[in-house]
Amino acid sequence: MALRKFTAVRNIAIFAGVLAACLLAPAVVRHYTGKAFEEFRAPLDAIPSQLNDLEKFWDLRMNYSKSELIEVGRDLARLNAGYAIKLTENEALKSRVESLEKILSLPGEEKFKMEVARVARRDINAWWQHLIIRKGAAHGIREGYAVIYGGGVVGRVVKANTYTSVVELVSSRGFRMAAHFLGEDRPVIYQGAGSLSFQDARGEVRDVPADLKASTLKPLQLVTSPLAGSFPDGILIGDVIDLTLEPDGIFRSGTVRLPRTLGGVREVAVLIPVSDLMEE
Amino acid sequence: MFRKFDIRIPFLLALNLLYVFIISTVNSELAPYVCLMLPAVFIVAPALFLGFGGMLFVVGVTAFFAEATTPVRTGMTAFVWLLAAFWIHGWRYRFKTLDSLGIMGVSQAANLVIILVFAVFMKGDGAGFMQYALRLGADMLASAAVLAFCAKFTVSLPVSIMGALGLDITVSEGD
Repeated sequence: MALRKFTAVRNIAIFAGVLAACLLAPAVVRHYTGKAFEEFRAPLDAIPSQLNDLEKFWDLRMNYSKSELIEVGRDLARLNAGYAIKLTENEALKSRVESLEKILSLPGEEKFKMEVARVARRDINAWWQHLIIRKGAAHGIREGYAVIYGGGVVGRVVKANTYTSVVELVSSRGFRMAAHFLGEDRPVIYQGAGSLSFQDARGEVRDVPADLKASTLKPLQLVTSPLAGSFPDGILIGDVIDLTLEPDGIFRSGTVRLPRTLGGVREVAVLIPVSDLMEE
Repeated sequence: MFRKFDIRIPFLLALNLLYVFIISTVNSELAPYVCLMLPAVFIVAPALFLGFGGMLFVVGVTAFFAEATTPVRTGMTAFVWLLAAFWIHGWRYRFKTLDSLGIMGVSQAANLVIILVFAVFMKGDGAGFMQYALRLGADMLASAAVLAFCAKFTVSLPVSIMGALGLDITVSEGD
């Protein structure tokens, strides 16, 4: 009887101690514990993504005949040849721009280097909207770096672990940036609309000059502004399909329809500022 | 707890980590439309089958693995999960027969309470309270529907695997 009482009291004391440690441990202990578990957890995010790649490889190998694969390879080779020509043109244009900048003593334009990364996991719920990508601090990625993809803006890096990074999506409520409309110089503010149930991702645009109008038939394209700092100019954010006048009568605000492909993005590019690379 | 090695502790921890892997993968594919929140899956089996210390260890470690990237203070998730595990562990004798209805009931109750606690403590991502409530409601409904199917499975699976290895695993008798 006494032993059972002792066991019960011991258990409750251990439990209370563990709860107190979870809640009240010093910030330093919590920081390093959190970081340690994040690094241990990183393979749990990266492994399914890598298994997916392996599955695609075997799917191609088993389910497509040699001639089908040869045809696809041939089409890709034609596409690559086209891109190689465009790359050569690009290089020629770049060197022309550099020589003109030298003659006119203008500052250089190239500000970012791209680090391509695979998306390991999407974590979108009522509290946050994050992507976990398979590259981290070991690849030069730091917090605050911009992330884009073929369809436009993806978001911003909010945490860079050693081999993985957490990206806050452009549709997240906490994501805000300066933007402008294509063909317009005047800056506007873009902010994500946050988690929506069973709807495509959306955002909001504010401080739009009153003379601008948008509709579903004639949407305005919203692009990044150099005022944002971490983003270069002109990357697509989304389409603005409606603008309504604010009560002050000076500005308009509206809804931004984000690209549908944002929800299924598999590869992204992290923009690393060239100045940070030169410092290292 | 340390007098003899209890194989059930690493076994249930390994099962829990597999569940973390599976649920993360499923949520990644279902995003952004719905998110399955199933903390009960990680809590009920360890609370029923393990002694007090083993349950603390398995649920605590799993909480840190499952929520290592949460915006809540590190440790808050472990705190809530451990409270739920403690409650279930105290009532484990009521579920000695491991009947489907009882297991599903306790899993649904624990899941609902944990999510509601997080809903109170965590700042929502929605544009307003209505959007937050709608999104949370949709996620909770989907999670409850999935849990209705998998609650009994997550408790019978360790029993089946241990039975196949020639070991008996039942509701823990003492601490």
